[in-house]
Amino acid sequence: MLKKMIKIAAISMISGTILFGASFNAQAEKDRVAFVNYFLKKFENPVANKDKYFPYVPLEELKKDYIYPLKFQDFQDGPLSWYKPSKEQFAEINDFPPYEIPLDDGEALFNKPFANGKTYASCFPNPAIKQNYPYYDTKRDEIVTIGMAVNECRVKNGEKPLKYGKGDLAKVVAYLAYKSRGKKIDIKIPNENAAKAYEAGKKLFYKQRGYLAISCNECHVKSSGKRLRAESLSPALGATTQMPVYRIKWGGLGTLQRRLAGCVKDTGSEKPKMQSKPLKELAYFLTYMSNGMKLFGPDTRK
Amino acid sequence: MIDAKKLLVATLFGLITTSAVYAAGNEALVKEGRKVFVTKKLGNCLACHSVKGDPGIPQTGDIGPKLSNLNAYPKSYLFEKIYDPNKTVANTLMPPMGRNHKLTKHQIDALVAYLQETTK
Amino acid sequence: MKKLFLISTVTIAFLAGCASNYPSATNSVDSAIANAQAKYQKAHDEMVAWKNTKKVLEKAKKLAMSDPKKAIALANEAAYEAQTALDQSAEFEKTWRAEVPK
Repeated sequence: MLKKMIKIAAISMISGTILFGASFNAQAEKDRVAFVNYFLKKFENPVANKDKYFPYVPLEELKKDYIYPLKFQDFQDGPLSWYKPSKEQFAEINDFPPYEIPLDDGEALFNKPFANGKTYASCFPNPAIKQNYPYYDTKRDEIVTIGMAVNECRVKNGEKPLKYGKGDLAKVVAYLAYKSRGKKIDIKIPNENAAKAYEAGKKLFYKQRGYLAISCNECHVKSSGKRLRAESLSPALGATTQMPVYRIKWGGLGTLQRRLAGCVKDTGSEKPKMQSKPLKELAYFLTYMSNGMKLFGPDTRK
Repeated sequence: MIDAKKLLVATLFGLITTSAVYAAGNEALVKEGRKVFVTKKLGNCLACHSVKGDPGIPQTGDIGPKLSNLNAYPKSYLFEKIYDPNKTVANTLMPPMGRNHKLTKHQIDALVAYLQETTK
Repeated sequence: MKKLFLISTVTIAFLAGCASNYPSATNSVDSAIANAQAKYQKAHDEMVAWKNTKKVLEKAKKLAMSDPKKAIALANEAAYEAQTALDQSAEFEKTWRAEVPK
C-alpha cells in the first residue's frame, strides 16, 4: 500500500513537472533560494558577522541600532526591519499613513463607473490579484504588469489609458495592492521565453552600469544594511511587496517601475521608459526573488 | 661678507614667500577638494566614506572604509584610486570617477590635497 | 620683382591656408558629431548610454555653426562617454555572473 502510494506520488510529481514545465524555473529557483539565504545569513547576527558583511560599520552601531535575527517575512519591511532609528521614525509617520488619502482616491476611482456604466470591477471581479503580477502571458508572449492590466481595462471600456508610474494609475494599483495584502507573491515562469525574460531581468540587476559603474545588486544586496549618506540601504528581497509606495521624497505614490527607473538613473544611466521591455524584465526578476512573501502595499518609505 | 649676509636674507625671504604662496595655493586646493568630497553632483564621497579630521562632515556613510592617514600614501596612488579604482581592485564598488569623466583631473588633484591634509 | 613675388607667395599661401582651413574645420566638426552620434546610438541601443551623453551631443550640434571649436570638443566628449559606456559594458559582461549569490 505504502509502496503504491509512493509510486503514485512519484508519477504525479514527474507528470506535474512535465505538465507545468517546472524545468523552466529551475535556474530561477536556484537563484531565489541562494538570494534569500544570503539575506537570512547576513541579518542573522550582524554583530558576530561584522567582518564578512559589515566591515566598515562601527561595531557599537551594529550593537545599538540593529535588530536581529531577521526572518523571511521581516524583509517585507525593508530597512525598517533592522534599523532602529528608521523604525522609530516611521512608527510616528505611520500613525497617520501618508498613503491613506491616495488609497481612498484609488478606491473611489475603482468604483466610479466609466462612460459605459461599467467599473474596473468588470475586469477585476476579485481585486486581490497583485500577488500574481507581473506575469508572463504565454499567448501574448510578453510580461504583463498590473499597470498594463489597469490600462487595458480602461481601453476595453472605451476610456483613455492613464499615464504610467504615478498619479491616478498608481492610486488604482494602490487599491488593488491593498485588497491583496497578506497574499503571498506567486510569480511563475511558464515557458522558455519567460525564462529568457527572467534572465534578462537578472542581468540588468547584477551587471554594473552608468557612469558610476554600479549595479542594483551592489547597493541593494551587497550593501543593504549599510548606510549611504544617512540612509540604511534597503534590501532587494521583499522590495516589491510594498508597492506602490508613498515616498516622502516624491510627496506621492509611485509604482514599482517608477522606483526601478529612478534607481537605474541613479547609476548614471539613461532613464528607462515605463513599461519598456527591460524595465518589465527587471520587475519580473525582482518580484520572483520575493516569491512566497506576503504583500503589504501600499506602504511608506523615504 | 655683507653681500653674503644679504644673499642669505634674500634667500630666506624668498623661501618663506614661496612656501607661503605654495601654502596659500594648497589651501585653495584643499578647500576645493572638500567641496568635491561633500557635493552630491561632484564627488559625493561622503555618501560612502566617513573621514578623519573633519568633524564638520556628516560621518554617516559606511559602505567604504573610513578615510584616515592618507598622507602615508603617495599622491599618485591616491589619484589612481579615485581616477579608476577598477585597476587596483577587481569588482570594486567604487566608481571610476576620473575614467568616466565624473570628475576632472584637477578636481581629483584637489580631492587628494584635501584628503591628505585632513586625515593627517 | 622679388618683393612682388614674395608678397604674392605669402598671399597665395595665406589664401590657400584659409581655403584649406575653412572646409577642414567644417569637415572636422561634422565628422566629430557624426562619430559621436554613431557611438551614442550604439550605446543607447544596447541600453548602456549614460545619463548626460545625449545632452552633450545635442549641445555640440547646436554649436556646430556658431562655435565649431567648442562643438568639436563637446562631440568628442560625447563620443568618449559613449565609447567608455560600451567598453565597460563589454568588460562587465564577463564578470557579472560572478556577482549572483550561489
